[in-house]
Amino acid sequence: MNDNLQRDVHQVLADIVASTPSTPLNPFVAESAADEVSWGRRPTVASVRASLATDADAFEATVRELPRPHGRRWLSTAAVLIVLAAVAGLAIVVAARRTIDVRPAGSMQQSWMRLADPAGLFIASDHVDRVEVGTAYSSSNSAVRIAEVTPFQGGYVAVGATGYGFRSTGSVWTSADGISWSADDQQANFGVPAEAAPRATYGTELEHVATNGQRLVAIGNVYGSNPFYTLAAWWSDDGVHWTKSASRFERVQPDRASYPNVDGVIATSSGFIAFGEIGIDGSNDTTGRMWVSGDGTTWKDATEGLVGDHVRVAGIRAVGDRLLAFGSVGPSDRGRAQFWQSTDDGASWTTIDTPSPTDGTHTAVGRVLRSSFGLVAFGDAHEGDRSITGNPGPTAVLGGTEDIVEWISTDDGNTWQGVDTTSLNTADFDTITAAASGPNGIVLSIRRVGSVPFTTVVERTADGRHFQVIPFDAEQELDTLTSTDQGYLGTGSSNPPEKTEAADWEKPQSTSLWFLPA
Amino acid sequence: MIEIEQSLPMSLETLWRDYADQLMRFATVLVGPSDAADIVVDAFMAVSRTATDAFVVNERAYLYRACTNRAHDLRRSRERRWARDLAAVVPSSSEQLDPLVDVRRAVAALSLGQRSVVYFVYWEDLTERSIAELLGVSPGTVRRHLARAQANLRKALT
Repeated sequence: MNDNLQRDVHQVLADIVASTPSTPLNPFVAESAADEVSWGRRPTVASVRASLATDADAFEATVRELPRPHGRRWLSTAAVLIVLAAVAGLAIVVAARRTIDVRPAGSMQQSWMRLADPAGLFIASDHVDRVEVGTAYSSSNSAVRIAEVTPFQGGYVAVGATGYGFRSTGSVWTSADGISWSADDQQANFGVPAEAAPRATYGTELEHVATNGQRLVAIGNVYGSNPFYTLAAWWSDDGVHWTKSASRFERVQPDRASYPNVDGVIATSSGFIAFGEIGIDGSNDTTGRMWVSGDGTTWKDATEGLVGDHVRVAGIRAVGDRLLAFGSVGPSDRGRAQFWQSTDDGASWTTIDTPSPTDGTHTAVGRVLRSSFGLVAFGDAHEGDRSITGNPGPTAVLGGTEDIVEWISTDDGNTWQGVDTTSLNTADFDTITAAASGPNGIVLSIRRVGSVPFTTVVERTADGRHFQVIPFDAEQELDTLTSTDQGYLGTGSSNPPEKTEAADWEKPQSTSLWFLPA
Repeated sequence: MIEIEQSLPMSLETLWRDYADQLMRFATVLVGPSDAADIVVDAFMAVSRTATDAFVVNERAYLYRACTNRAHDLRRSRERRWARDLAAVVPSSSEQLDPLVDVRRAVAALSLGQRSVVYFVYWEDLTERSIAELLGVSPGTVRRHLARAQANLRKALT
């Protein structure tokens, strides 16, 4: 089956590539018009005509697409109208925001409610980038994405990005109750860092946030020129004013196939630990890496405690006076679930016996939650060929199956016991996309693939062994879940209403807010 | 390494000679054979309009992004046609019922971002890092595109 799919996808790509039309004649061929059309100069109709004199059809096609001054003016006008509309909308919204009604529901009749976003904070604009006509980067690739949410000083702070990829702007949203949100104007630090982008071409994304109660730390991506991409950290004591750390997280190694990547950050009793992965020299695989900081202002490498290549830390959690790390050991497609513990705030780690299936399945621990019935870990188990080509690219998964696996520990992580998750694994591919432990137990958002293209199912458990489905919009997807005093706050990805039949799952993309009352 | 220390005043003629063929393949996978040439020519036009203002360090990535952006610009009006074109790409020698029709439809139904990543991973054998640079996104975004593309492609199995 897997071999068939591998062969089929290759064949389809081969057929498409084989259908590539002949490359048009070089319209920029140097003759008399060479200077006019050189890099950095706008070609004129005359110069293109000269170079295409022997290809009338191509010339017509090319000239048709030359910039149109009127079109650009229309776009500028549209941009002004959009801004005016946004301002007007905001004025209306200020009053409307206080009218959101969140009614507590009975605990046995839990149901999700979609929170209004009257300020339009989380709605992707399909026009923002179009205003910037005149750059090759202008496009409709806008998106608003919340990457992580953390409770902070009685309220909540969400980090993410507005925009797309290297055109994005790091964004922070704050909320007193998790329901009404605001975005502040003090986020210039997350915009285009002058030292990285003298031409204001590059942007920033925030991916992770953690707090020790007094200080917030955020970690994200800064797009630059060379290297193209670096990791960066910021800190804040109020969630509004942020300062970028001067420390360089990880030098980009030109001979490595993978960029360094931070997968998360947590607060410890002595500061903060960020964890992620870097490329392995001479290999296309990656291995785990940790960085520590006392106060969030400077960071240093702290990988020594994690011995060996192919160590992957998916997360770290403070448990009593020690740290519990979890992830996997082994090559990316053949790993085995593993827990570690540290009693010196991450300086050194020792492994904890981790039960795994003995049938050759490849496992990894993805998240650990504290609940009324102990520590609960969820992870995934892969079976079958995960790669369709054996290429050096990212973890290629097309074949096999993917199941949710679970462990429970009733002694603060010293020993772990596997749990039967048959009832959670009803499709070929079941993956937990978000989870939170709160007043009504643990809530999981599960992506099930096997139908077209996937469905989201939310399940709740009060004992870690029995699960109850909570109705949710199957076409939405939850990216984060955070427990609050009153229930569970979810943030999800949603596509714009004008989504076409041939779905574009990524762009432009807005964020939707959900609340599940306790 | 495809990064360049500083911007280079490279002629469009040279750029076309070096990159037009590979961009035509990429554009064909993105939008199908009908619009591929338009997309590529547009990408070069975009480069010519902006190169002096932009801090361009990697003209190959710049051109790939320009292709992707142009495809996005046209997506609304032409996406259905592209999906039809891509799904209809069948070797002419085939006289029997196409056994790959479901896979072709699945590939054609991917979003532009997903199809880009699938092409780079499974056809060009590029690393995650190279794909991130070419598309101007982070490794995390590449992974998200790939994961969702794979989720969508798996339906061809069911």
